[in-house]
Amino acid sequence: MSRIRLSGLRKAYGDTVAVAGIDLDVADGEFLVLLGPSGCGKSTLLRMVAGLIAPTGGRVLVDDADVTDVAPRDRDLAMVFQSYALYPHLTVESNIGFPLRVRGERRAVVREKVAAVAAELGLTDLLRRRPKQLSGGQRQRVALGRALVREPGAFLMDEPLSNLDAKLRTTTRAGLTELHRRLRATVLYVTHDQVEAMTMADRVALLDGGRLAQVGTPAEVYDTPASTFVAGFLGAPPMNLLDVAAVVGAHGVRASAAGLDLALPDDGAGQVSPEGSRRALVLGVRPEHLVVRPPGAADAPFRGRVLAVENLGSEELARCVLGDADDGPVVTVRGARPLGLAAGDHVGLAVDPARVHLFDPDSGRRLERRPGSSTPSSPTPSSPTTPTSPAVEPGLHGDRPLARSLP
Amino acid sequence: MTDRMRAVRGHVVLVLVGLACVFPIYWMYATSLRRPNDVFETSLLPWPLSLASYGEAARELDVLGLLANTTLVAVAVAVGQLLVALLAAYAFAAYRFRGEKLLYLAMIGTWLVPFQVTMLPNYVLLYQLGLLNTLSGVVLPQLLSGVGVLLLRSHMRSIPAELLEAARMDGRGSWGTLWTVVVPVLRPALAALAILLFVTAWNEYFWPAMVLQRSGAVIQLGIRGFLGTEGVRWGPLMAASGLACLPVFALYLVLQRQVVSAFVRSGLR
Repeated sequence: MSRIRLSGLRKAYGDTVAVAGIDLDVADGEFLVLLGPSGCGKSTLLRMVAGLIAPTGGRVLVDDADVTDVAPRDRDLAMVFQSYALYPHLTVESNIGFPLRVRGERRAVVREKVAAVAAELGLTDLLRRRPKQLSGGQRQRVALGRALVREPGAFLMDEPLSNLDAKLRTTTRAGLTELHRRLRATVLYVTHDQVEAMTMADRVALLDGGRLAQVGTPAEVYDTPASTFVAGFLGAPPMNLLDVAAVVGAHGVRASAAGLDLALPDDGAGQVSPEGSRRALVLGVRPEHLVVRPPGAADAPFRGRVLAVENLGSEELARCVLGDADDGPVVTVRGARPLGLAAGDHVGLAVDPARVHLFDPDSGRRLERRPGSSTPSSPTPSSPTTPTSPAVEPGLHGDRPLARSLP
Repeated sequence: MTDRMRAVRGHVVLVLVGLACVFPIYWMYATSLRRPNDVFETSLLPWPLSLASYGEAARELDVLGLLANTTLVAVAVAVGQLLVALLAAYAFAAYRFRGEKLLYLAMIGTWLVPFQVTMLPNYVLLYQLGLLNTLSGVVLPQLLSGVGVLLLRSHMRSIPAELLEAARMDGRGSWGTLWTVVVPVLRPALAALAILLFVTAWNEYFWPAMVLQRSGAVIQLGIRGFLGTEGVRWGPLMAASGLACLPVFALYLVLQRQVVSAFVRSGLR
C-alpha cells in the first residue's frame, strides 16, 4: 500500500479559491477521512489527488514520487464514486473486470480475479446482472469491487455511502472498516457525515472553506477542537458556543454573560492582568457535559429556562435560554432520559471546568491553557497543519497574555 | 368530464391524426397495385390486384441500381454526419477550451442557414474541385449536421460526469472512453439520430439533382422521369415511390426499439 502526501495543494477557479494550499500526509495503511460541509473543497481535493482535476498549485506525492502531472490511470489509485458510476451497459462481471481489461490483462486472469473479488463482496450470484437490476447496496459493492480488483496503492472514496438508506449505511460502514482492517489499505475518504468520520477514521481532516481546520484522531478533534468551526461542526447537537466577557477580579477570572457567571480556573491571572480588565471570549461546552441542577443551586453557574425538550429514545435534549430575557443565548443540554425537565421550567446547569473550551472571538482559534507558562497561548498545535489564520495573541489587557490565566 | 371520456376523446383525435398520416402512404401502395387502366379508381381497396405498374417501372428504370446508388449516398451521408456529430459533440460536452461556445454556435448556425443560401457557393466549390457529377460531390458538403451535434451534445451532457471520470480512473483515455463508455450508453440516441439522418438523406431530392445533373443516379431523380410533359404516369410513379420507401421502413423496423426508447427517454430528462 502507498503513502500519499499533499504539499501546498491549491485549486482556484478564477477568483474563487476552492482549495487553499493544503499540506496533508496520509500514512501507509491509514484510513483518513476528509470531513467538512458541502462546498468546503473536500471533493475537489480528492479529485486532485486522483488526477481528475489539475491543481492550480502544489504537489501530490504517492510513495514520494511526484504524480502531480501523471495521468489518473498511472497513479495506482482506485476511486469509488458517490453515484457508484457503474457502466450501465455492462454486466456486473464486466464492470468489475473493466479496469483489468483496459490494462490488457488476459481473459482468464480477469475472470479469476473478478470471481475472487465477487466472492469476497458477496456478488457471485449477481455477476450476470446489469447495474439497473441491482439494489443500491449491491451497486455500492460492485463499485467497491471495481476498485478492489485493481489491487491499487490506495483507495479514494467520495461519499460512497451517501446514497444508501440509514440501515444499510450502518452495515456497509462496518463492512468497509472490516475490509480496511483486513487489507491494511490506505484510504482517503471524503464525507460530510461526521458519524462516518468518527467511526471509520484513523484520523480526521476537517476542511473549512478550502482550508484545513484541524487534523487529528476522532477523539482529538472531538475533545479538543482547534476552532469554533470544528467545535460547531462535530457533535450532534454541536458544542454550545457562547459569547462571554472574561473579567479579571480579585478572586481570579470569571466568564460572564446573560444567565452565566462561571469561574475560570485561577492560575495567577490577577498577577498578570490588573483587576478589572476585560476581554471578549467564546466559551464552548458540549451538551453532554452540562449537568442539570435545581434553579439557584450554588454550584450551577448557568441559569435559565427550558424552551423545549426532545426525546431521542435513550436520551433527551433540552434547549434552554439563559438569563431572564427571552432572547438570551440558547444552550442545549443532553443527558440520559429522563432529564426531569419540562418546557417552562427554571433550571440551573453545572459543568466541570475541565470540560470548558475557550476560543478567540476574532480568529475562532482555540485558546489553550498553559499553566505557569509566560508565553502567550497559540492556536492548538494538535494538527500538523499550518495555522489557517494569524495567531491572535489573546491578551486580556493590551499585550499581556491571558494564557496563564485561562483553562 | 370524466377521465374516461377525456381518454376516449384523446384517442379519437390520435386515431384521426394517425389515419391522416398513414392514408397517403396507403394510397400510394393502393394505386401502385391497381391495373394500369384503374389508376384513377377511387375505391379504397385496389381490386383486382396487378403488378403491371411495378413491371413498367422496372422496364423503364434500373430500380435496383438506383436504389443501390441511393442507399450508398444516404448511408454515406448518415454515417458521415453521425461520425462528425459524435466527435464534435464529445469535444463540446467533455472539454472546455477557448472559443468553444463560438465554435458550437457556428456549428448549430449551419442548421439555421437555409439550403438555398449555401446551394450556389457549394455548387461552385464542387465545380472547382471537379466533383460535379460524382456521388462524393453529393455527400461531401452534407457531412456536418448541426442538429446532430446539438442532439448528441445534450445527450452526452446528461451522462453523469462521474461515469467518464470512472473510465479515466480505470485507465481509459478520451478516445477509449468515447467508444467503450459513451457510445454504448448513447446507443438509443445514436440509433434515433441515425434514422433521422438516414431518412433525411434518403429523401434529399434537390441537391443530388443539382450535383448529378442526370436522371440515372438516385431513385428520387429516376422517379422524376414519370412526370412527363405529356402527363403524369401514376401507376409506375407510385410503384417506384413505393419501392423507394421500402429501405426506410426496413431500417425503422430494425431500429424501432432503440428509437422509441430514445424519444421516451429524451422526454424524461
